[in-house]
Amino acid sequence: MADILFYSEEDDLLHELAGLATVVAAQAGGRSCAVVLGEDKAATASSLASEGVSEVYLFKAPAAFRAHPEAAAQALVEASAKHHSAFLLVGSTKEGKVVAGRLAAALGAPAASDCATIQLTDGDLVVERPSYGGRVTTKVALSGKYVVACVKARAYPRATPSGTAGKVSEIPFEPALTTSLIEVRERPASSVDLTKAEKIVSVGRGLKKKEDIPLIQSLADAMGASVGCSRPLSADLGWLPEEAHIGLTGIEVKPKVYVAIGISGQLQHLAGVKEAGTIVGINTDKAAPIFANADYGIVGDLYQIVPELVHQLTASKHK
Amino acid sequence: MLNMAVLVKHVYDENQLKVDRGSGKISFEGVPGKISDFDRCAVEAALVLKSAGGGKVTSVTLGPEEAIKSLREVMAMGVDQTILVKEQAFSRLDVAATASVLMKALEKAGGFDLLICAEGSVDSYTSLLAPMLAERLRLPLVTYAQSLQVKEGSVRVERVLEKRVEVVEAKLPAIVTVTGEINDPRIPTLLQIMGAMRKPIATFTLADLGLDLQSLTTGGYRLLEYSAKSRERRKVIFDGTVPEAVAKLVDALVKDGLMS
Repeated sequence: MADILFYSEEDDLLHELAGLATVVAAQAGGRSCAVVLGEDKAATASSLASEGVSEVYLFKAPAAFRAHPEAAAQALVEASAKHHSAFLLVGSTKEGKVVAGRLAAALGAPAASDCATIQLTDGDLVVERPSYGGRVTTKVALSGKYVVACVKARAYPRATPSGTAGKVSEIPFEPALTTSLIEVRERPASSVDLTKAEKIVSVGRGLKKKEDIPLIQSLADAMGASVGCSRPLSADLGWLPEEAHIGLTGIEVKPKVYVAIGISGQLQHLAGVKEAGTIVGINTDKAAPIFANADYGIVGDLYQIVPELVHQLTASKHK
Repeated sequence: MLNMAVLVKHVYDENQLKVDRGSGKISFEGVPGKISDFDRCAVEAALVLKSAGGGKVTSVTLGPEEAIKSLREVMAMGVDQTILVKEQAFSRLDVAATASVLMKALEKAGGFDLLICAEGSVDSYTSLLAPMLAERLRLPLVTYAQSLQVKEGSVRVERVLEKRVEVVEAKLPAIVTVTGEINDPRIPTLLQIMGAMRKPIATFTLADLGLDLQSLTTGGYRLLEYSAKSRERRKVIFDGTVPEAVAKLVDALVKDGLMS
């Protein structure tokens, strides 16, 4: 009989974990408990308490520390000590993986990150996670007094208010931190969240210059799509913001239709689009891996194909 | 003198994995290995610090005999000394066990002021190793660095997260993980590659480090299976003149109900 403890510094993910935790707790015959960090997080704590969560540990850390992974790991270790055994679920963000690694090491627990599925099987936590750039799915069983699993965003639906009233326990908290934060800059929010976009037109190294971005934008406009890119265009060339970078080290997207223009289709890029509904590839090189990983393809020059595509899409709308 | 260590991993080349289409099973047999891509960025970051302020760079890896190839590569880039912990069954070790081995190996190397590693390895990409090492060595950790400087016994890092950029400082000794965007790793010349062939590589077994495979694999991490259930794509290529091919594509997308 294991309890479930869960944490994320991201509110959306926290509510997704609440949904998952209450289900697993019911199967395990244990309690579901949230760890929330920050003295300004009382509202989050009470909303979780109304979503079927048995208990919320509200660690009253100064607001400035509430996203600090070291602080979160310490809070989770402290919360774990209240449970004889526990499955610990952490939101798999960049900070979340730091929290999970520290937590697992502190508890001597086995750990897996980026879990897309979580199941209770014979008392073990069985998880599936991607490896080799998403080409391979690794299935792992985690067992022990404590186990740690990092759960991907949007893998599970948000919990909904259930009319229950879980307990909120306030815990005074002074984390011991070994790094100091000198400066924080919010990254400019891109106008559209690509992770939620239904249609994406994405561009890669086949584009010759930054001044040609409007050509890609014109196709996106004709389709009602958002614009993304492969790593070189944002990281190396800076032609598009980092938020538009789709792939292993960027974002993962799940559009209904994904049009890859001038993208060769390296594994690192494909890792970000494997959940796309229909993939369209446009590339001059007929041997480019994108065509083996696309539903539809046209071999040819994007500078001829894209304007024609815009033309025909606009014409078909006026029919 | 700044004593730097860089972790390196020799991985299977993900572009050459063999997948049985029917069962989705993966075969690693005969798949060539390579250095995990972003490890070269970690090495480059250390070499840049060395040329700016002096110091020594040691690379450590855990892997099979073939992992020597990756160590030769980083020595050609300019790493001063390398350590291989040789274990053919390395893939049976989970990240926690790997952390145990690397801790011992780093100790053998004489410790470090700054440990640099990539944000993840291209095979399993757990991003858990550095946090585990930091926790067990009780050291500061700064992750996802896109730039770093060392000054007066501290490291100052600009780190990139999903929604914000932070500037963080930590006292040395410390651990830093770097992104693939931090730099463009140097490409060694033929002469440097030849030179690296002659440099010694310190090799240890688990037993040399006072460890054994048996006790390292009793943790609660059990690999059940690898599979490649990637979605089969239709792979239809539209040919003809540009207007013809585009017309076929638009037609297909409209028929699929994707243009509404």
